[in-house]
Amino acid sequence: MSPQETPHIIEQIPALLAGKVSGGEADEMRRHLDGCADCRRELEELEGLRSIFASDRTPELAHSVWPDLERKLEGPTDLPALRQRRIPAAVGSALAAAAGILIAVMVESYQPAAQTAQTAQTESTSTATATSTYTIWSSLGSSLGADRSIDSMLYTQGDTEGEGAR
Amino acid sequence: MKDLTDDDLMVRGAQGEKDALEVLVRRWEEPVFAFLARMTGSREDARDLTQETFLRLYRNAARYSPSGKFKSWLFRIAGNLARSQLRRKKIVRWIPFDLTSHDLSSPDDLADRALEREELGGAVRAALLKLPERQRQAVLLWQFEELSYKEIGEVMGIGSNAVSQILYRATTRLRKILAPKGGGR
Repeated sequence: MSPQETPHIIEQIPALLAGKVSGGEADEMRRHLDGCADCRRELEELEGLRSIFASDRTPELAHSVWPDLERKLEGPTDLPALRQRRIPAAVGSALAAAAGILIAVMVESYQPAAQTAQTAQTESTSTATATSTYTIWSSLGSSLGADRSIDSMLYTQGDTEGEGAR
Repeated sequence: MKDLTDDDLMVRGAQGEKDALEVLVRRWEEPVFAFLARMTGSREDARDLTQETFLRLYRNAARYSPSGKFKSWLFRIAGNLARSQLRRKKIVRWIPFDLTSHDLSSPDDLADRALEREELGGAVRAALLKLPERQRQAVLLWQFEELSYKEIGEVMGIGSNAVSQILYRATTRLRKILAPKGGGR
């Protein structure tokens, strides 16, 4: 079969140029190129493109990124505990609320017999304690949510595919 | 430490040896930066993304299986970051890289030729930025990183034949972009 009768090899030319085709396959492609003006023109144009790329100066870093990177690695957001235990804000808040209610109930139900006469006063105090405790746990829940926010600065939405590279 | 292979350094990095990571960073930061600069068209973005690439590399070091595919793994992270950045910004930059680093001490003719080359390089970079992201990524990995079709396929999550087709489409498009107005095929 003459080169004119063989299928064009245009899609394989980049591989040939890059030296990724060798042996018999490369010889066959060259034979085709000898007799096929269309493919030869394609080869010449791609060679031209390669030479244009070759004239393009490689962008260079002005300074190594290592010093900045090292500081980041030493920063608080790199603590494994913060990175690995991501607790969604909603779950954190729910846990905090549940813990607050539990403690409030425990505080409220703990009334020594000696203080029975002061029930009304104690009720008032324990309610205040429960409210205070709930506030603390809510704050903790928010903090857990905040951890996630810190983490999301490093793992931005939509580009997490980069993490699972292999 | 500097004599160790990338795989060995990754193993050590996964064990928390920061020195190993430093060697990897210094070994690979230039090609990663060049790739990202060409992908995004911005040196500033490229620097930030280079740093982020190595940060993620370090944080995922334990998941790396030493099989001699470090370069593919690294450029996959960098490529994904670049594409995410481009999607976030949704802009195309047409301005070529700055020309401030010309060798002004060269003789005039050499300087002229350097400028000519620089202008040509600027046109190529601008043309690259007009390519769809995946075509640009394939071209850069093929042309500048000299990855094999198989390696490019590993980076992009496609087969070698698909790489060949993407490159063909990319070079066809580049040729049209770079053809003189009113000329070309």
